[in-house]
Amino acid sequence: MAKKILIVDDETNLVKMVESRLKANGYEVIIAKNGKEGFEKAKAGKPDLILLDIIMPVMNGEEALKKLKQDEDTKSIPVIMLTAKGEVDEIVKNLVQLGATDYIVKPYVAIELLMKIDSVLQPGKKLPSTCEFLLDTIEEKVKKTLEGNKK
Amino acid sequence: MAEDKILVTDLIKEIGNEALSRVKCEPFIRIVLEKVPVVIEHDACAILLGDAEKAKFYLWLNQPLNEDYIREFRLKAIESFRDTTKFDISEGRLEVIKYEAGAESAESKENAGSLASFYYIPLMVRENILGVFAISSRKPGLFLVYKLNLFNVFANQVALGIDSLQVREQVLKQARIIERDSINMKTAFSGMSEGLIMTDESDRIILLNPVAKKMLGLKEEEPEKIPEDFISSVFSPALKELAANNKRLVSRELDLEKPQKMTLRLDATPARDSHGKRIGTVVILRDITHEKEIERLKTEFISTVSHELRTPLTTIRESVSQVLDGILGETTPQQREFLSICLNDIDRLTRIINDLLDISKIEANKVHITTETVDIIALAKSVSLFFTPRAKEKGLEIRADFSQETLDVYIDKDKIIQVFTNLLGNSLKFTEKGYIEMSVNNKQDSVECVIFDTGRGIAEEDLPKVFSKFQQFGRREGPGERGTGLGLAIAKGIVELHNGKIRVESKLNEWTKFTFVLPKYSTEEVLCEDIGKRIQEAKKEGKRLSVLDIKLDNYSELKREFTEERARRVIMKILEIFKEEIKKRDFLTSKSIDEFIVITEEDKEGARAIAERFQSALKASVFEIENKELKVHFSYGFATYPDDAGNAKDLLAKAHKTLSG
Repeated sequence: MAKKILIVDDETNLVKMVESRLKANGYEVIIAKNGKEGFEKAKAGKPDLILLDIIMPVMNGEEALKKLKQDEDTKSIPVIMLTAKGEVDEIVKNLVQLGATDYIVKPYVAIELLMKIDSVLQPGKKLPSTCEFLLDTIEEKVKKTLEGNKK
Repeated sequence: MAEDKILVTDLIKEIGNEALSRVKCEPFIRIVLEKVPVVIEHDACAILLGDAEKAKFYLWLNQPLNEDYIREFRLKAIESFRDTTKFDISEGRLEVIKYEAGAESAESKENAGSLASFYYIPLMVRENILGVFAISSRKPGLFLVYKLNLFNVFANQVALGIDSLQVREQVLKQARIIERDSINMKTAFSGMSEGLIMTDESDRIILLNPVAKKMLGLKEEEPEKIPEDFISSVFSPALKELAANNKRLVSRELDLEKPQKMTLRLDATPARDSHGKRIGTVVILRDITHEKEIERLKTEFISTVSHELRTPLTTIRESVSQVLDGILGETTPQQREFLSICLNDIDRLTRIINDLLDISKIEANKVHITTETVDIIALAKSVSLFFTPRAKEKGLEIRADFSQETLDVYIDKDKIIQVFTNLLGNSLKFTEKGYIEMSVNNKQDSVECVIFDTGRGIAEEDLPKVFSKFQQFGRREGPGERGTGLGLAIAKGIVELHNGKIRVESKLNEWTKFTFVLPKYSTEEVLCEDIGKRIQEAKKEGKRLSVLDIKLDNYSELKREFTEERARRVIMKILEIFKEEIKKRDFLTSKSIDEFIVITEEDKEGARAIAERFQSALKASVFEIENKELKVHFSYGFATYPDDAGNAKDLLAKAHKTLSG
């Protein structure tokens, strides 16, 4: 059965893209526009993974994360935080302590997102080699090879 | 004769008094010349003072005399001046000051006659020759020896008088200059827009201008009360640094809260006398609040703009890439070709934005490097690997020359990759034929990385500008390959963040060589730095921090039995197993090949638990080399902050000391 992913983000265009990419890779997708809606949909829909933006109206990502981790129904669902560049250091540290599994810096390349999701949901799965060209800079490619070399 | 002597003695006394009571030389000379007839009978007398550059001829005519007489007298005087002083004064440089005795003009013209007697005596004070004193007459043989003796005595007194008056004039002139300078200085000090503080040679403050007083919030009624913390934390240290390093300038920046919020820049320079001896310090205070604000706004602007640009770019890129991937339906080859071009340019735009963001951060000191132990050779190899296909396309060879197999350095991996990428990318862009050579050299306490190419080179006059922003030289490449003009500025920024240095050498149309040098730290130093950082964090949060030291017992046996290479591979495997067992906040690193360190926020029991988890994980794994099963076991020890030690070094030492099975 297809794994279910909940995207909680208020940037509709970006969400649309992510949704399309994830679906193309065989995931089922649910969407929420803010933290409050995200928490409700997580409780009702039991997704396998949540992508959670930090800065959102109504309820921000941090509050939503706290709520998710306190609720019996949702606390075991892994959460990947979506963060804007510049917030990374301090805030992410805090969020990881609050129970987030991982984070990804926005704006992200879809392939990065897929890799993170796969690493959480299907550890050990190999990336299709055709995705390689999607890594946008040489620096990232080098980084990936170095990490590959280590393993 | 005796009468003459008495007269002359009185006269000498009189002119002595004249000299004492006056401040100017010229009126004194006039009086002297007027009195000469008392000493000796003559028609004209003169005093010539000066040097080769400028001389003054004070001429006194007792009688009206004709021009020829005067000219001859002057020439004779100049000649005697030359004989005495060796100064060859031309007539043109001579200033003539002519005095005439009372008007006996009626019969004067008949009295015309030529010069028949001439006598002169040098005007000397100690060994110093001031000039000459000359007398002349139309009567021949007029100057008798005993008269001349009196004249000589008289002239000596005159010389003394002139000398003391000249000194006095000089002093007064200096005094006036000093006074004027001091008024000018005072006006400048109080009028200048910078704050000024001057100290004497023992760093005592001797002057504060009104702006400095205002900046430091000094009140009019207690002008001496300079804030204590300004002196102790900024002023004195800056002055000490200046004195200690014999520097020409020491600058500091400081943020003031009182009397108003402002950022000050302090520039201290030594004040020296004409012999180069330090006589104090001049400190200039400049209000740079506004400049700082503009700098901040600029940085903020760039980073906001960059961020705002990146978000829509991501969406565009993702759309194009999904269409290209066929996720949204079938595409024709031509559509795919165009979409690929699109994607390439989107990536280029992304690079430019990233570069802008990077440089604005580096400039704003907002970049923090996250250092770890990295094999810089593997890193360099990977970078060269990615450039190899592109180099081949251009018909270039990438050569690599590494002094050893691996070389661990303590760097920010991502940032050094960026430096290599920028430099190699640059070489590739500007090299048409030949090769690019990368080398990494292990030096005493640094690592030297060199990227050399046989490209078009950089003109000598452009070399100093290479690392500046938006500098692009000799751009002739096609439209697809344009850079951002920021790559080298970023590379420099990153290398400097690592306390390293970067330099460039080049020969136009032949070659270019970029060298960057990164300092090397010992494993111990690196570990201590990491642990130190964690201690600070733990301290802030009131937590404990433990250091767990793990040492393999049988590494040397392993090595002996299976070669170093294989033993090393086993170690790598063990490290991986351990990594699975620790939490995200914990940190595992190698201290040496067979000794690992774990830094964890656990207390003693927690640290022991980690070690036990490692033990059981090792037991569960099977290591095989050539079908032979390996037994690996280790000892461990630990120490906890703040219970066992207060600093990183002691913590590490204690953990090592308690190693046991």
